[in-house]
Amino acid sequence: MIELSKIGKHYTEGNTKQNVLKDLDLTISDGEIIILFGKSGSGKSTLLNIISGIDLPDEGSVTIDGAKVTGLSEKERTLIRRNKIGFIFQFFNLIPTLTVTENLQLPLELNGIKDGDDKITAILNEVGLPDKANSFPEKLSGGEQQRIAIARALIHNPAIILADEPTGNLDYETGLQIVDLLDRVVKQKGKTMIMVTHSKDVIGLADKIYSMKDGKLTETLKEAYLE
Amino acid sequence: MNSLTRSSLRYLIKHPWQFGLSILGIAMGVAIVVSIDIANHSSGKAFNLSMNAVAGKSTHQIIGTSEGIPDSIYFNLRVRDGLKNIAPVIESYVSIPDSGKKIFKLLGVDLFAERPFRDYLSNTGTSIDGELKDFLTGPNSVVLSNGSLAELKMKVGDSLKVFIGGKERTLYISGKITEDERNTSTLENLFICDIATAQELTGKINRIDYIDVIAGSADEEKRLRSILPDGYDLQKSGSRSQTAEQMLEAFNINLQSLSLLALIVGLFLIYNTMTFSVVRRKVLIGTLRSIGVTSNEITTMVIREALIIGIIGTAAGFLAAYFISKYLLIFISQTINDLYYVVSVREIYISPMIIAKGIALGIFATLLSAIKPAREASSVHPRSAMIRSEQESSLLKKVPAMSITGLATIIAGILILLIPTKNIWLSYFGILPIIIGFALLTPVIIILVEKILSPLFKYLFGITGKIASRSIVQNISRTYVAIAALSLAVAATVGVGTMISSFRSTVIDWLESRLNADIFISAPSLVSRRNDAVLSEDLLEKVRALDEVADINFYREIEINQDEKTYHLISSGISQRNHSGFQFKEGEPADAWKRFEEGELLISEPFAYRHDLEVGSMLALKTDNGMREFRVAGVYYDYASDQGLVTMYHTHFKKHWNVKGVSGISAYVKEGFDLNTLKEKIQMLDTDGQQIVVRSFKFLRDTSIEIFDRTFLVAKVLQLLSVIVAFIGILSSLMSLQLERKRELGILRANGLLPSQLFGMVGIQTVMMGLTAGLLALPLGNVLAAILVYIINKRSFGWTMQFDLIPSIMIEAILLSLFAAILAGLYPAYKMSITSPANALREE
Repeated sequence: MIELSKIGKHYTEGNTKQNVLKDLDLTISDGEIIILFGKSGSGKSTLLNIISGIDLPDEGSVTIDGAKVTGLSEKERTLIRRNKIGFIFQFFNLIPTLTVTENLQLPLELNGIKDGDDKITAILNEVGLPDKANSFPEKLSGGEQQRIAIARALIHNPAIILADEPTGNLDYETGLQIVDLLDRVVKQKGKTMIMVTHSKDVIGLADKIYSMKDGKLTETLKEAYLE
Repeated sequence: MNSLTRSSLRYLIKHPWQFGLSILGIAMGVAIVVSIDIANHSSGKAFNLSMNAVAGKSTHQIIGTSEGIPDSIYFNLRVRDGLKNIAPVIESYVSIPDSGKKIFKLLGVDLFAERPFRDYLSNTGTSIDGELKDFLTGPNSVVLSNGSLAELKMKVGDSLKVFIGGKERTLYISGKITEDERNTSTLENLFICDIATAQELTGKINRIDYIDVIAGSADEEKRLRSILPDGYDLQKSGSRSQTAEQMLEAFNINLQSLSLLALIVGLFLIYNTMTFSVVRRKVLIGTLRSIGVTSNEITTMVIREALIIGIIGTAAGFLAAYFISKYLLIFISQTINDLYYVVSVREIYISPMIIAKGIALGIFATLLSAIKPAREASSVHPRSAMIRSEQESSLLKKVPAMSITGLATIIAGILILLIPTKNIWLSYFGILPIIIGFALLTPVIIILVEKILSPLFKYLFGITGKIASRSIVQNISRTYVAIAALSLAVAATVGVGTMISSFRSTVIDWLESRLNADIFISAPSLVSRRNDAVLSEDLLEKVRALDEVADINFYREIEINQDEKTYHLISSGISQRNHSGFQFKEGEPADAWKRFEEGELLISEPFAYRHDLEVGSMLALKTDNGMREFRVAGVYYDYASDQGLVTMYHTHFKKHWNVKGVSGISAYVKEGFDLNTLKEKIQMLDTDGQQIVVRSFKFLRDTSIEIFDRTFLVAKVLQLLSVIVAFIGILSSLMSLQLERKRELGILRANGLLPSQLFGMVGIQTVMMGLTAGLLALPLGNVLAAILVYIINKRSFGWTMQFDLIPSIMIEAILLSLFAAILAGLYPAYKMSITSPANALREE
């Protein structure tokens, strides 16, 4: 379970203080899929960063499975991220100097998991790219890169997936394929996911939908988007 | 191999330009440092080997007065006092006409006393297979090693013409020594003859140079000391090697320090590459951080990459050093022969210490330069993964703080330099903060130069000119390191060049005032700085008696070995008209000359500096009549010897030392007489077989300047190598910069910029970088020169020198800087101009 309590975050630019998040409360149960909508600069990505421990809030606390992330050192937060969280980025962010297999090996190595070959084969089959095992990222299309990025986020079996506009850099068709993939490998496997997006095509995945405005979250009914 | 390491390695391999140039930079830095060390070590080792060849198994040597030891003393010790483990020795140098500059050592020994000392001689039945009788009784008989015979293309029974002490002699090769693996290097360069033959060949009739001793215990040593007559000393066998090492200490340190400069420039290069690789990979590092790689693991990754560069660079540096040192050795041994002592170096010697130092420096320098980039990498925020492309890290914001730190660092350097010390390393250490301080000031100077030149470039080249100049500031975190490295290397050329020029003009002024006679006579010498051969006093009188001669000066130089140090004493017969040639640093000239003629000493500035003496100090010298104290009457400027000279009036000298002959004579021609006629007349004088060299002032001056220039040749080579390292730095930096701007340049091309305009734009940028580096190099270079002149040289050699600002050197520096930058910019400019805009836009 992820609990955010009274989260506040502001940035200062010159003499102006800009509140990005204000007094924000959010509880996400295990296996829940949350989708965050909001305009650019509304604080969606900041919220993801705070949940993952990449950033610290100015006020409030974040608790993951009972552990207060906001009270941990930078290294401890990194280790939580390493063990419990899988990241999916808008621009895929695969390591260009590693092959697909090696990109997938990396989280396994970081978590001390040896003999991960079977896992890699299995997940490559799952994302539909078993023949790309030895390719370098630059040889893959955008959609393929994002599939591998999803595989990388999942390979070490984290409980939480954080996705920052996973279809934002893909064409419509490819975006739909990615949503379909996320449905299979995240939702159906009971993982918790928080996804920031502008795309309404992902709504089908959501258990809850929030829109972000002026640093606050407002829950929106799924139906409102489906209409 | 884990995935992070694999990723690192692939990154390095995928960027061969950066990787290769960094390796080249560190390799050159290491190569220069190691090759200087090898050359210094090899010349020292060659000298020690020649000393060991002569010293054999002796533990001590009995040394006598300035004229050596009468052989009666030796016989008394052996026969009357019953000392068995002693052997007489005469040493001299042999030069062979038509054999280039090759010099051999003549060793005169008593075969019957030799057995305990030099085993290659004592076992005559097997090692010397020439006729023993010939060796002992044949006129001018010598034996050589097989190797030396082969080198000279001679065989047993042949004769050869040589010069010993300026006199031509014919030697007869009566035998050869077959070397074994223990003594091959010991025996090379050695002519061995019987002691009586050596006495004849060197003119040391009834005298020997010293007596070798094997004193097995402290008691034996004590007993020996007790029976030695007054004026004779027992010194350890290694003393002469130690003295030679001390003599060369400052010379070696200065060479080593100059070589370190190249490594510092190489260090900038590594720093530049590592910083660039970190900046370029911010998104990647951010991604790694997002998925759980800790900041320590990122630091390790960058340090490991630097280590790979360091290890490969160091290994390549060693390989290059082996070859470079062979050439440097020629220059260095020439300088040692010019200024210090005779040494013939044929082999390269590498000690474990040199290897350890080279590895430590190469690896340490690399790691040191990688610390900051590694820290920068570890501080990359995981947020960076969310941003499409990381912008220029805001170094601009840090410029004020950097500038203040730079000034503070310079002040710290100045304070270190002001510490009153004779330690040369500490003095060089003070230069380091000044260099770092200037590097920290580089960004602010780049901004200022850009502000001044940007409107001009816009006026001259339009908008491309403006983009070119502005991009230097926009990419300042990359450009400043390259500019700083180039300016440091160019500053080094300004610094060393200005110091050499200042020193040169000081020496020329000094030569012109000191050498005010018309003609100079000496015996041919093996060491340019001093005459080891002597002219007879008869010749002196014959020259004085010539009608054309108005007045003469003469001197005799001897070496005094006392307290395990060598003092160079000049007995001077100086005429009144040469007094003006002496500039006094301390002491009122009229009073100093008066006291000098009464028996007090004049000492040169380096001597006063080395021995902490001033006017009024007392100096104890070992005379032929025992130790005597002399008062110092004056300290004069002198650039002939960095070891320093002690000058005594010849009539007083004669009272204390039983030394005959003169080392040199100079004469003033009478008004109305022809100089050439005088020269011819001197050359016609009967010199009793002694070769003499008669030279004009101009010839002597030119020869001295030639030696001076030769001395600084190594420094100039080192300077050039530093510039090459800096050139590699700027090439690497420009390549990186242009590659990184590929997308920006692609956009410009897509908007209609022609390839030629793009080429021009990159060209303008490189011109501006070169110009900025050149301008920066001028103040830094002159500051370095002033430090070298006023502090380093003073502390190394004790010389006061004038300091000149030399416009031609400064103009050359700017041109050199521009040239290096333009040359380095050509390829990146060409590469960018031919890149398809579509590719540039696609491959961000």
